[in-house]
Amino acid sequence: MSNYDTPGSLDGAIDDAVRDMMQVDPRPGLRQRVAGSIGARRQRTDGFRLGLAWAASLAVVAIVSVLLFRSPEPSQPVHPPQVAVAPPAVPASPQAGPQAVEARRTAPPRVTPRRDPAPESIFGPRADRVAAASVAPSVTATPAPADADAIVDLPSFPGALPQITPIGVAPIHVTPIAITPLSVSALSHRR
Amino acid sequence: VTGSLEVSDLDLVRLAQAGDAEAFGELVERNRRAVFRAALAAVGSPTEAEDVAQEAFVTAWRKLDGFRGESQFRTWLLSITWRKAIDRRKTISRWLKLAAASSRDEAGDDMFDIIERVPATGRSHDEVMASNELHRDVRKLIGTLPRKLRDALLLAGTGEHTYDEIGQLLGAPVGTVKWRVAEARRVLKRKLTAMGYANE
Repeated sequence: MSNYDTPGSLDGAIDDAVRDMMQVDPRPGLRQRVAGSIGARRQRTDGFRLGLAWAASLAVVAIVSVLLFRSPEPSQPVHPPQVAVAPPAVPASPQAGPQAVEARRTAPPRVTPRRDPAPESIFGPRADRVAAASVAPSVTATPAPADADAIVDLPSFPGALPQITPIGVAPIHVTPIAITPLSVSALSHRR
Repeated sequence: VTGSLEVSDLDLVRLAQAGDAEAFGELVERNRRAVFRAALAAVGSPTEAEDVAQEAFVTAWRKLDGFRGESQFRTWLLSITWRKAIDRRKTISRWLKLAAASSRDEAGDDMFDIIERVPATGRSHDEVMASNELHRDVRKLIGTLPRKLRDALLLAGTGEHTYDEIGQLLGAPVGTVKWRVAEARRVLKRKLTAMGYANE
């Protein structure tokens, strides 16, 4: 039945088996294999870092190139706000040539002011009408710039400019209200 | 590194941390057996254990800057080795369970037992065949032990690790490790007795 029946045989057999399983040495050259793995890993890491540095350098060069060699864009003209209340009269300037004056007079308006019917005032007709954007003729009498397309051409207004008259506002008089105190007679709860 | 016997592990670690690959090579040389056998106790195959040992050394080199000398370098290195070995064992176990699912034989279905049936590297076919029947049965039964008992028994049987080191690897007190070793032997003897071997 048993082929291993000496005294204490099982303890000895367990010790032998464990020793046989575990007391094994690694193959020679483990140190060299570890050194090779570390060197290969280091090379991979160095290669990765080198590639990363190259990529970063190329990106920097590309960005600098774009910034340096980008052609300067012409500045966009800033259009003045177009007021659609009333077309201001632009009289012919003596400095501008006759052609510019003629073109200014014959050019169609780009912004057509929309004139709504004046509402009926509940206070009756006003003494004077005041245009909010009315300007003095001296301000508008500026010479036309060389680039006629860069500005809003407005037709000349043949009529005379209305005179701005300040509106007089009458002060409001507040009449104090006299409040008489209430007198409450005592109520009786008895009926 | 000259006079390596006089240089402590910690001195070699400091040199290696400064970039001295030769000093780290000396650390590999000093600890290669303990690392390999710890891995062998976990994975059961010398070939796998060599791979694990190599990975553990490379990982130790990579993480060497994080070693501050609060514990012994050998303990720190063995901890890395054990974690890698356990990871490898899980991978092997999953693979073997898939492979053995269709061809499970009478020898049992434990991963360690399946590994042990593969002839170990360095052992000739004649040596394997010359092993007696009890020896084979003991090895087979070791493969069927619960992992906690088997790990403690095999680590204690390496001849390279103290009970303190084994306790740190297994995360158990020394008393628990000793109990596991004794319990593993009791289980083995009980099973061998049940198989008909006499324990006189």
